[in-house]
Amino acid sequence: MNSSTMTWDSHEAETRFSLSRWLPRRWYLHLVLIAGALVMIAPLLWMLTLSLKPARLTYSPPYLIPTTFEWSNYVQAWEAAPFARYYLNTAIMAGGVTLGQLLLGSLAAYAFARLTFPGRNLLFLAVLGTMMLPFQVLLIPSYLIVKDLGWLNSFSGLIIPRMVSAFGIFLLRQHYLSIPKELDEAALIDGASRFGVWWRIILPLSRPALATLAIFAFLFAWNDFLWPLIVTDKPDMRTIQLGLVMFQGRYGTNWTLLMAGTVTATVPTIIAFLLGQRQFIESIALSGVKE
Amino acid sequence: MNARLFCVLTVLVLVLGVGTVFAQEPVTLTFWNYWDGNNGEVIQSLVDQFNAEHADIQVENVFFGWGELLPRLQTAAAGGDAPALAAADMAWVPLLANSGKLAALDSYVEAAGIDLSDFYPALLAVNQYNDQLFGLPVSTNNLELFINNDLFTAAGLDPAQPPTTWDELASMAQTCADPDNGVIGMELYTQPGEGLTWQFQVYLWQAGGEFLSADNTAAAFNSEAGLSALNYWRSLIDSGASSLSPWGAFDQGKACMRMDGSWMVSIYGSQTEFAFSTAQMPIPDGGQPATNMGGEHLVIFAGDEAQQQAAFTFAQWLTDTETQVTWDEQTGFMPIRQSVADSADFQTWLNETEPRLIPFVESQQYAINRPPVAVYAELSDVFSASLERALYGQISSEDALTNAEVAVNALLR
Repeated sequence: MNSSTMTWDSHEAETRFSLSRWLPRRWYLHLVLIAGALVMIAPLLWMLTLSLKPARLTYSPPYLIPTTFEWSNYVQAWEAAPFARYYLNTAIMAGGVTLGQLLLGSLAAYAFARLTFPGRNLLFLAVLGTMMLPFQVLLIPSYLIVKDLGWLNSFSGLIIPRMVSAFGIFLLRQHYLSIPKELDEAALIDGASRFGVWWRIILPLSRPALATLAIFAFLFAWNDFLWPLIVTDKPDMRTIQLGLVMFQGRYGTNWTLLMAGTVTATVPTIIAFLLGQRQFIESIALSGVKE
Repeated sequence: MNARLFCVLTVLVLVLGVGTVFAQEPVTLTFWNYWDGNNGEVIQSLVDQFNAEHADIQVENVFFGWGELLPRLQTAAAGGDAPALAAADMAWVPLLANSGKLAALDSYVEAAGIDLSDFYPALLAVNQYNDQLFGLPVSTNNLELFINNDLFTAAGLDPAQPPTTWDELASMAQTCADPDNGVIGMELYTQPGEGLTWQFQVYLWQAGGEFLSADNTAAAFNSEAGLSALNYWRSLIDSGASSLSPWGAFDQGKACMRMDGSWMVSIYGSQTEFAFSTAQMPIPDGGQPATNMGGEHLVIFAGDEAQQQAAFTFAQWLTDTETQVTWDEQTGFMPIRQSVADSADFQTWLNETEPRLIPFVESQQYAINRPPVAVYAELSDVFSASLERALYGQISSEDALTNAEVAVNALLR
């Protein structure tokens, strides 16, 4: 796939040679991308702008570039609830969920992609079937199980039920299937165990898929609202998303503080995405060279 | 080393000794509510005060967001893990009572000798379900007229002379409206949802109508009063005094008047730049004052007898006149009982600190509760969706009310 893209690129460059002296290569693509980027960034900019407005200008007409800089909104938002504690809780939860999904997902996917055992396809279908169930249906049963295990208000309750996702298993299995079986066989002949093959051959070749899953799992866990809401009621076990509703009351929303809190809560996800994205691109380059 | 060991032993002996003397463990109650910001700070300080005054009962105050508390209560009740008590939105009480997880309060009220006649009857009615009392009002608010003084004055009107009749409201709104600059005279809630329903109910009640029949089993709004209220709204829109734009113009300083809740007094005080005043809602010729209300009600979840009794003790303390005066003065909520409205302390506070709340306090006696039926949310949706079509001129007022009547009766059946 990668090599064919390369040839198409060079053809394109040749035919457009005269234009490319004036405009960046594939300028029309850039135009579309810039328009798309503006649409994507507008809500974020609006969030930032509103977070820096004094409260009395809350309802004045919206604009995108900050003109007022009310940094005290951030201090007020941070102090409205124990956000440092919420941050820590969310980081532990999101980290635990992400690690769990990577480890358990990649092991399960290896079994489904490489091992032959009776009922494998049926079992895989069953795993996929769980993707069809909306979480709302599972809410009460999951809550009752967690309660009976005594995991309410604990990291066990926040993390363990979310450590496996059918989506993750599916994503990784599909990627494993694209890795030539000969590599496994060569390693097995060289005396590697099944775990060795998984650890030394499959995982290093799956970095793009793992990075994708890690981003998804982390963002999902970081932004998750319903599950932490259901399994925690002690203030010191709450997560950031639960803390933000502090500003959205029955009788009115404190928009400036809500947006300041949201900006603070969004920063880690942006960092996670940037880190993951770099890994993502590196890995594609790596696998392209190998092939 | 020896000294340290001695210290540890002494402390141990002391702790054990004290432990035996106070072997009677206090009852611990969890209290869930969605009061945030300033209201949240006030309830925490009241809970602290209660705990200090009651050695045998300790209340733990737990906040949940408004949007989250109901699903959280329902999950917890289903899992047998409900809090001892909660402050529920008025609209949730019938839902929770219907779930069978609430404790009926009639026997506790009787045993404690509480004079229920001091509470506003409409507020108590919310808590009646199957002829039993399932809650006590703890905070309330109602809807009256807000006026943007800047726009009013600019149009040559005097905010100190607010409209008192529907006709005056219509003519002042028309004078003040300035479509070229996007200024609406009287902002109405014209999108489907409870916002439309509960605003419209005020006009319906003012015109002498009822929303549901007395026993809450059938629609009653398809009446002469309903028709005149709906036609009045349509005349405001058709004359240009109001518009079909989304709710929010008044917040942006783009509407001269709108009906809104008492809680907005403090919000407009801090989140907007324009000056505003308040007045009682104008009434139609031959009509009567009326307003809608919201607020929170204390409900106690079924548990063991000791816990229920302790929870009731807390509920009784929190709804007591003395506590309520403090609560209302610090939060801006409306009185839930006559003795609070009449108290000299509260009246002084009102006149000196926030006179703009006076029209709301005076109207509390005319406040009517939305019918306490479990399907109220669905009912409000179909009602407002039908009325919206008339406001947009797609169907006649008569048809809108008839359609709504059929849909509402189907839900109530």
